[in-house]
Amino acid sequence: MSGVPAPVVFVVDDVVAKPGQGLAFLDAYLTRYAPGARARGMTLVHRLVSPAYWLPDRSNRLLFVWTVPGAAGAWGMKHAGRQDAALAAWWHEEAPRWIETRARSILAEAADLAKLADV
Amino acid sequence: MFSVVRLIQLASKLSSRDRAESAQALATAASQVPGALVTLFEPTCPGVYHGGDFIWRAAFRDAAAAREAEASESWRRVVSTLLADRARVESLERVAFAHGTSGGTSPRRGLYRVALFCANRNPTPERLARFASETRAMPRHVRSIRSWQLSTATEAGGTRPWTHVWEQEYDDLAGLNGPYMLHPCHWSEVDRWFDPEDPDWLVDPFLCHSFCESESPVIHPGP
Repeated sequence: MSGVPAPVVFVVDDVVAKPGQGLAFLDAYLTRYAPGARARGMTLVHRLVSPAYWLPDRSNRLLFVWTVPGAAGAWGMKHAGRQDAALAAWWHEEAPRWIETRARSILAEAADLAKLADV
Repeated sequence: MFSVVRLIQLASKLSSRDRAESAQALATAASQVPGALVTLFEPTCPGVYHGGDFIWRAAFRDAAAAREAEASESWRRVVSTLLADRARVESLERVAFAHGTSGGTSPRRGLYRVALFCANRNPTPERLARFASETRAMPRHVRSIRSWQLSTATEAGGTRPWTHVWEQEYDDLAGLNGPYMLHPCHWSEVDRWFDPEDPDWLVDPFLCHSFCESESPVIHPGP
């Protein structure tokens, strides 16, 4: 290895909460999901909420921005997660009670794309 | 063209002598399949995942020729008996498929890789089409893929009712473990279909990832 750090890879959970459920979902996400994610090598760098106050009867959008180190970090996160039945249960059985829609994206800084693709 | 791929796992309790004899018997049988136009029978390399001890791929003119081969007296007498012998064969994954979309040029020798998938999470036609389209696009980005083919299984047996057969050839193992695994088209895009964390999750986490050295072209054997 060259010793040069791998480009940062971002993993973003983009969640639209059910009306009035934004804060409840944030709490559940941070207590039920985040500890395991950290154990899989992920670092939570942002917890963003839109609009920037809790809506009592409409839907907040929550963006959780995580980082992992490069492709190896992305695979490490994925492979560890696939062995964990509780993780699938979280997303598919537990979390839906608070979630209207969600998306997950894996991204990188534009300046790092060429380096990441040079494999 | 139509192919049948088997991933054969020998019984772990076999003695090394019985293991060698079983392997030889299977290799001999593989070389004598009536109507097979191209045959690959090779031990898998270290690092496979549910990949078996041997990959056996037989290509035929069409499905009828494959059926005819497996109905032949020699097949029933030798191969069926061998593969059904649970004292020798611990597990067997099998897929039969008409050749799907493919590309590239097979290397004269190299590394053959096959993955078996079972797309069983909300497999709507639209989602299956997107998954296939993105998978077929990977060779445009992963330069180490020399040839490839994505097929839909018409018959499947083993641990899962396999739906997809994703084959590639590389010059060597580095092409699989390096560019294929590391290119962002894999881990930041196509892999979401395999990821239970992703809302697009489509493919059963139990899959087969197997590879072996190849001494001749496999996917595109040429005229």
